[in-house]
Amino acid sequence: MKHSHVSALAAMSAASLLSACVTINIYFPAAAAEKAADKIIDEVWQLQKKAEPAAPPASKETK
Amino acid sequence: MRSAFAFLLLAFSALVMAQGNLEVNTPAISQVKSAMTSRHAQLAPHYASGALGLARDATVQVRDANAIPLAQRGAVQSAVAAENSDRATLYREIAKANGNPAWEADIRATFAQRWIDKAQPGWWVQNAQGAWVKK
Amino acid sequence: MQPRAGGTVLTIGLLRVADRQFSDLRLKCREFKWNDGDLRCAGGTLKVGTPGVLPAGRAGDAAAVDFHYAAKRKLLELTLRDVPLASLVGAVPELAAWQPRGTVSGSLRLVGSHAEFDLVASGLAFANAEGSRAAEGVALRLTGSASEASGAWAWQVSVDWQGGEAFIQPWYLKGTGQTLVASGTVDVDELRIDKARFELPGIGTLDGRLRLDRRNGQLAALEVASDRWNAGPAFEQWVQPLLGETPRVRPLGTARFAFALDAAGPRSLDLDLDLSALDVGEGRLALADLRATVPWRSEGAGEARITSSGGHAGDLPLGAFAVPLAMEGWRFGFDRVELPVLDGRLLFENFAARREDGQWHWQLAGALYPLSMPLLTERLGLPRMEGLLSATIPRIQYEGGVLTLDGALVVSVFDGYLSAAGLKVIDPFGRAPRLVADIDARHLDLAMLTNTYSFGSITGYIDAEVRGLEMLGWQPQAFAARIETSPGDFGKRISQRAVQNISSLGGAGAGAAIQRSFLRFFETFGYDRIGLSCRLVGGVCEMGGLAETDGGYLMVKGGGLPALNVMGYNRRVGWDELVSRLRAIAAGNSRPVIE
Repeated sequence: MKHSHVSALAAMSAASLLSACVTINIYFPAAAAEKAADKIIDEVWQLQKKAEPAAPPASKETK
Repeated sequence: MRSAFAFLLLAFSALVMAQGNLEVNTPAISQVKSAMTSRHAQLAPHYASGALGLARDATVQVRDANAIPLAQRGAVQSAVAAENSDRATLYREIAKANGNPAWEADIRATFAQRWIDKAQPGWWVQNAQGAWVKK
Repeated sequence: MQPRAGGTVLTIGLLRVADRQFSDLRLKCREFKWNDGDLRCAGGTLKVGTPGVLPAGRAGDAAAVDFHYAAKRKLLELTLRDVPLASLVGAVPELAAWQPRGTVSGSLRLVGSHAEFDLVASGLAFANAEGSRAAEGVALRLTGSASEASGAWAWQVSVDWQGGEAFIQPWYLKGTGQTLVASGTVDVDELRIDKARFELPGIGTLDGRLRLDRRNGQLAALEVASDRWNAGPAFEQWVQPLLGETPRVRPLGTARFAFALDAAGPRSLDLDLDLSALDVGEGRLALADLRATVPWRSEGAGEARITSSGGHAGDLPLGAFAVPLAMEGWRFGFDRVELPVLDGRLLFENFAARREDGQWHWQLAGALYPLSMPLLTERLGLPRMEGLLSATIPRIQYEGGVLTLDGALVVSVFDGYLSAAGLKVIDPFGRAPRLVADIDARHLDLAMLTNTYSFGSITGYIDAEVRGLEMLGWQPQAFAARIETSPGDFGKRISQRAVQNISSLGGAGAGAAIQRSFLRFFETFGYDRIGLSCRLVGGVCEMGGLAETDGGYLMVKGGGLPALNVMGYNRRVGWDELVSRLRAIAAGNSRPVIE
């Protein structure tokens, strides 16, 4: 129990080291930036998570 | 053995997380964000009236000052100036918080697109050619 | 002139008033009399400009006028009844961009080279394209006269603004009976206002003179002088809008000012401020009996004097102070100003400021004479701390938007001292000031520090260092901080409660272990060293201690009997969370966090 707790912590710190390496990145992480922007904009504009938009009405094919 | 597996799993998930998220929770970012949130109530009616628009350079612009009642016009203009200064700080600080100050322009461009995409119907936004269009 | 059914049409090819020309005026009269050069028209309509060419017929709108022209006496009389202002656009094309609305009534009279007018505008509205100047629903009366002599017109005018509102960026004004009476001359080269008086109800009066070079459009000279203005509404209406989104400033009292400028820039400013109270940001700063006398000249020396009987900054009471400010052109300075704060004094010395190329540079030295910590903490709503607080500030300078501290700011506190070196504040007066500094603290008495917070007690001394401290908008952004027991021989005991609180910072169960073990029978424990570090990066504090241990870090190394080691296991603690844990500890209701 105690042992696994310790190793999980060690893993976390190792992982944080890894992640520190990963963020030093030449390429701009466009998808992550977009997600971050969305989160901030939702907060600033107080946009609630809207329910999924209703499915578009089934279109009638007219021939 | 089990702990080695847990390590790998954790390390992997941390890797995925690192690619999936930008750091946006520094105190400076929070402060700017809360100033912008409380300012939004003042600006929102003027997005709706078309007085203000969301520009393609990720700023707010006064596109028709005459649509703002005279008594509020000065205050709204100050608020727009303050908003743009806060936005500039926000983009700079996000780039810095992620250890890449050079990303500022990319972050600004991302925000420009997302502000415009998330604008409500009826608000005015600037298209790629710089013309104002109503959403 | 063509007689027509239902009236007569009179066409004037060119009318010249002062140096303005009006072309193609058509006057259509219901009743028309012409007798030996004496021409009368009643119930007429006047059209200016060429109908069909001007936009949408608005400019060519008809106007209800009476017209009387007596050739022999060189007399021209014009009476207007509710003439739409839009119809004037034809006469004065420059007005088109202002989209004028509303009506004007009144009379114009020209005799030889003397003109008189008395006009009343109502529902007047205009706006320029940028929206930086606009008015709505304005009611005003404009009267005046002008006489020409050898190419120059001498004029006088009075305006009485009875109602409506106007925005002249950044000012918003409501018509509440403001009046302007002005007189002067105008010729091809120059516009002179020899005398102008504004009466601003609720504020005061302003007298002014002006000379404008019409050839280059430049202001050649301007002088204005106020009487004793009511400072509150004057500031609210005229100064606050210039400051943008900043804390509200509310002065209570009177202000009198006079200033002069010429083509080269400001020449003089005299200011007399007599305020019974000044409030900044709803109580953030308040001063009572603030008086200032400022006699500034662009060339020449003078001394300004600013005094106050005190007030408060935040929760700190300030005592009476006086600032004798020596001025010589764009150089300012004082030798010494003392500001009583609580039971101590803040001393400012050797202040020198100058303005060069539109930029301010200034420097200042100072000191804080001992202030009692019990009083200070009580005022700030903090738990009581013992001791005295004092500081020396060797030299602060401001240049190019950066406030720099030369040398170290030394603060004596908790029996030790704290020194800040390399202190810089970038853009200190901007919206997001950025501060950088390195801070060292030596020999802080832990007993004094911990007794104040309900942290539990620790005896001994600690050193601390904070490297690369960076704050933005007064929020810490980044630093590498270390706290460690000072070298030396002194008693080192730590109470059970303090152990619990320290471990709650490290987020592990040492406290819980105590609860369960025999150690709970002891109130205090001996220790050898305490050490804790935090590297703040991106809102997360990376914690560490005296040494790395199996899976954690050592925060308290035991020593003596009974000995107890305290370990931390949380490597990364969110800064906001750490601050709230510290707050909880200070408030005395912390529970060790067991994760």
